[in-house]
Amino acid sequence: MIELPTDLLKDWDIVVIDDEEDSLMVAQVILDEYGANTHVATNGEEGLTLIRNVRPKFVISDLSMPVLDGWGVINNMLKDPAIKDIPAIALTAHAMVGDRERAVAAGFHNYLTKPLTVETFIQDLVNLLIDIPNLANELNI
Amino acid sequence: MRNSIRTRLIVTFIALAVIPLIVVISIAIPQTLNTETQQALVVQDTLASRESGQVDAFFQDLENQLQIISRQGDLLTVTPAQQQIVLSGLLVHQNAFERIFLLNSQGQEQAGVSRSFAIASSDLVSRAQADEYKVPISSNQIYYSSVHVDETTGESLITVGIPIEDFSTGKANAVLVADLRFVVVQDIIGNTEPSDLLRGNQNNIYMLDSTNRVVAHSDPSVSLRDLRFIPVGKSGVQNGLRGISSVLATSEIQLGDQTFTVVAETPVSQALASVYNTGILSVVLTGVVLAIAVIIAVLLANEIIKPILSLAVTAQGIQAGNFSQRANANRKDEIGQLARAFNSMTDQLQQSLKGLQDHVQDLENARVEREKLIKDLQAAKRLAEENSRLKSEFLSTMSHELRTPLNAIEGFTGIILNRIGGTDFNAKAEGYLVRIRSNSKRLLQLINDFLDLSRVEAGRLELANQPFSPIHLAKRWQDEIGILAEKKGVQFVISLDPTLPETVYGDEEAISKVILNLLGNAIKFTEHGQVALTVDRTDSLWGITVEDSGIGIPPHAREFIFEEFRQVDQTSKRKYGGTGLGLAIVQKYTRAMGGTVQVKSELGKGSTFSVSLPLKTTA
Repeated sequence: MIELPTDLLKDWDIVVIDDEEDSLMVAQVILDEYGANTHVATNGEEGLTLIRNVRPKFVISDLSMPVLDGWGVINNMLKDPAIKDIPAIALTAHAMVGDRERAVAAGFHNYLTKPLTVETFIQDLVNLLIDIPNLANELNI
Repeated sequence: MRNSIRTRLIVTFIALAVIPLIVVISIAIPQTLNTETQQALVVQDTLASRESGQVDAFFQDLENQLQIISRQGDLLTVTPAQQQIVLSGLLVHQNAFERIFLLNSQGQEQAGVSRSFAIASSDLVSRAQADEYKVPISSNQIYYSSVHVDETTGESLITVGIPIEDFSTGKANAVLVADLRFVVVQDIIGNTEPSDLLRGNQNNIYMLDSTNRVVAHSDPSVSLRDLRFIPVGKSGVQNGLRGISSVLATSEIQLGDQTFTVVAETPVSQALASVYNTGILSVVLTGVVLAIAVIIAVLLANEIIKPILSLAVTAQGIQAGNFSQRANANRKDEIGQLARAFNSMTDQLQQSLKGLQDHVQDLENARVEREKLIKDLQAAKRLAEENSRLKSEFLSTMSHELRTPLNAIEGFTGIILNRIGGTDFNAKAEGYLVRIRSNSKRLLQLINDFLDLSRVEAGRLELANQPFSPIHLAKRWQDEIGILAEKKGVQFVISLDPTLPETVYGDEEAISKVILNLLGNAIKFTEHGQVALTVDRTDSLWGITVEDSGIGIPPHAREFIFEEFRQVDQTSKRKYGGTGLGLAIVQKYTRAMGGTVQVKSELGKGSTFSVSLPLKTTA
């Protein structure tokens, strides 16, 4: 495992939306370990409110959720000029072939595959963030 | 119906009945007519001859009476008074005489008597210039005048001059002149016996003089004034005296220079009355026969036609669909035969129709049954689809629900083991945590494999048909497996066919699942030597071969290694781990993509798995 600096995401506001609280907690613990201020929501509605209030560096959203799912989140984000430029990363289930392509087509920047493991999560995330020029510069690598 | 059998039958029957009759009549009538005409002619001829004979005889008798007187030798020498007495005796004796005169050789009347008035000697004149004197004197022949009308009595007379011979000279030296009342001739003719006249009073007999004037007639009521007739020939059928067609015969009488003709005639209608009656009878008979023929023909025709019409009505009824109708087959004749044949045909028709209807009913029943079956099948299909959908949903839910807690376990053990968030534990706890993590990973793998298999089993495997580069795919496998091989100290070699197409179509992920399973197994069961990956192609297939120099598969196990949860043996399972689903996934996915997988192995020397897939270079 490549060692990454613990201030990799120093003071970054990140919004994670997932209806599974355990999953949310794992993500939050890992992201916080790398210095981020992780805000969590358990459905799309809450997530959108949070995004509008916090204006995070980026968003990680599960696709399958009650009230408003991940597709609803990205659609609403793209319709709102204030938040439409915030990068969003989709969380897709292992088995859902096709969701990944659809996610990118719907407006997500990229996707991460569940389950999130400590060893791969941050590495994969950094690989995605490097593609986004504004964020790449701000990463404390 | 003009040409109906009925009409034709009637006409034929009438013709058969009447034509022979008409033929017979038309032959017999003219023959009879001819015979009858001949007979009538014979009768008329007989009549004419007989009458003329009588008249001739009458005149002969008169001539004789006059000649008897004339031959009295002393007639010329006696006194006129005596002469007158002789003449008077003649006048009294024969009422045919109107007047009688004795002329001397100079033509001077010597004596004379008259039936109507007394003749004095002063009344006597000379007839020297008259024919009644000149002809007998000169020719010594009897003279007859033509019939003339007496001025005083108005009676028809004929004057006769008889020469009186001088016995010494043999020459005529005096003439006896008599005026004969022609009415006597009339009486002769008129006295014809009624039986001779045959067939009533229509028969006429009359006499013509040489100028064709009618001078006597059997019917006294007939006026003779200016009545003339010229018969054509001696006898035949011609227009008679009264201008009507008559059977007519003539007979001539010669009196001196005068030629008289006695004509006997009877109207054809009279003479041939029997023929006409026969004709009328024939016509009546023909009429009666015709009437009877018509009646019989109509009855017979009806007798024949009625059952045929009845048959036609029955046939029309059957045509209209009333198959229970039957023709009356009681008759013993051909029509009865026809009716029976018709009925038998109808029976057969009805039977056939019944059979046909039964058949149609059977077909209808079969159709209903089939539709029911189709409905049942559709219901079953819907149920199956619903079941499949439910199964799919169940798989999806299972996938999510089973993995979620495992993901949490994985996440949190990872957090603890990496001491994230300041967590701490001793060495003993770390060992347990590693086991927890290892088991949860196995469980997750097992669940993923199981779900993959279930997806194929449930027919819910949706294969993509996307273009991809087989070479890039093989490189990906090399990257992924190369790390594992390196860790284990096994050599990993890859060999790519240069003729592989740039792009093929198919499901890249499904192929990867198959090959990564095979490569993972190869690494797992190989302690030394190498694992070789070969990708090549033929015309329509491309092949991926994974060859290892591992432990190999015992022959008995080769039959079941592709079955779920089957490994070579329990020892192997404990030693090498794994879910026992890998090769089942390999086989099912390969088959789902239309390909095949084969295994060759030698125990202790290694195994070779060859996957063969259809090579699709277009969508």
